[in-house]
Amino acid sequence: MHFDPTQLATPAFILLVIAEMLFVRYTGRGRYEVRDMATSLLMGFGSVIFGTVFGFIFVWFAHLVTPYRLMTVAWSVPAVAICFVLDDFTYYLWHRSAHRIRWFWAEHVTHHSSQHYNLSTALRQPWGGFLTVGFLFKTPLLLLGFPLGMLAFVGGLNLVYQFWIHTEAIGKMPRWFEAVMNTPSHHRVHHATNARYLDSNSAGVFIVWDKLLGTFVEEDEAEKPRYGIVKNLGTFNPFKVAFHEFIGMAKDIVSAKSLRHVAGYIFAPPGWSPDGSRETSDSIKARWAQYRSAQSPAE
Amino acid sequence: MTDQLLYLAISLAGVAAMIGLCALLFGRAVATLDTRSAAQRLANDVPGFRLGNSALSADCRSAMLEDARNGTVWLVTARGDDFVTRRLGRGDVKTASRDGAALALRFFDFTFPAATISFHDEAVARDWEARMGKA
Repeated sequence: MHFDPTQLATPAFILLVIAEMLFVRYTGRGRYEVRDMATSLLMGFGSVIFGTVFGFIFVWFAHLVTPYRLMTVAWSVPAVAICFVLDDFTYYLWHRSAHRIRWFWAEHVTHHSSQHYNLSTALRQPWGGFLTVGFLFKTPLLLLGFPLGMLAFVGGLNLVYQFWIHTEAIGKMPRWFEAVMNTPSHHRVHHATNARYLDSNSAGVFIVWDKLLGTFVEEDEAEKPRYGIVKNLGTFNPFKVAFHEFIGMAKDIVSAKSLRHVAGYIFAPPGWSPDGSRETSDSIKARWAQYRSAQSPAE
Repeated sequence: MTDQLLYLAISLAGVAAMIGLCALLFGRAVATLDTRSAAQRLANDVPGFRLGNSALSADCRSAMLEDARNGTVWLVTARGDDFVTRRLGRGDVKTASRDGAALALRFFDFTFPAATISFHDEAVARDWEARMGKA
């Protein structure tokens, strides 16, 4: 069974981006910039090409693992629903790792590299997934017996859901919805570089994973999110956007003085360096907290 | 295979349409700044930043600022309708040369293109060239 929700949703993506642009133009709620948007869309287009060319790696891996599955889950509505929820949890784990381990961040940074936050940002997708093999996070589901087609289907649905939450045009959703689901508000926090928001809200569809595992941060109306990455890129070149962190990591590995340093450059959080001269999200948060308490000692 | 090519063709047409409409609606925005907004931007990017000396480029698209806490020199420069910031320390700047009131900088960071910052006054350029050397 082959049914790709992202492919089917593409016309809707295009229409919604156009609708959002018109909304932003006439209300001033949100921002668009033509070079930034062109980069995001080219990243999205390129990711389809890279996904098509290198998708066989995941298929090959799934065929390797499938003989060891505990059972065989047949296609049914309840099975797809369970698979969707479990897949969303594996997405959370991957996404959390993508912000805490440089190896995965090298790929994921692409998605965060825009200083704008609009529906086109949702399409700013990485090209280097085949290098980082993040699909390994789906191994437990394959071993449980969920078929590859079902995993691809729910993964596609997950991506489609995440499209609409990349917007400043929507404030907050109803309370019950904000409590359970990932929303534009929660995801704005995730894309923010404000120290208080760094490394939070890693959910894909259900925000409950963040709430359960202590990574949830509520959007504070007094502190508007600032988008991008800690060290924003000075280029709109899609190739540099796609591979700059891989190149940076390779340069660090080449200059490393020990195997411990090599491991640190690959598996430690983004920004780690042997002498601590660079900034990680933890060190930025610590400095911000220190600065904040110095500013208002009574707090 | 034909379906896949059709999908790619439709996507590409959609990309072109969206970029065209974006250009039509928003134009090609160029960000400009003053000392206050440059300092505000650095305070956002560098928690605790305290403004010391500063100089604005003649086109108001770049500013060089000194952190009063430690003398670190920072660059704030326009990229599209927003700004990016970079520290201008020895480990960051590959080459720095001055031609009259213009400072030409090349960076080790390959995602940051070479920049030429023209000031109103040659003395200002000379002063910031010297500050970078000390930073």
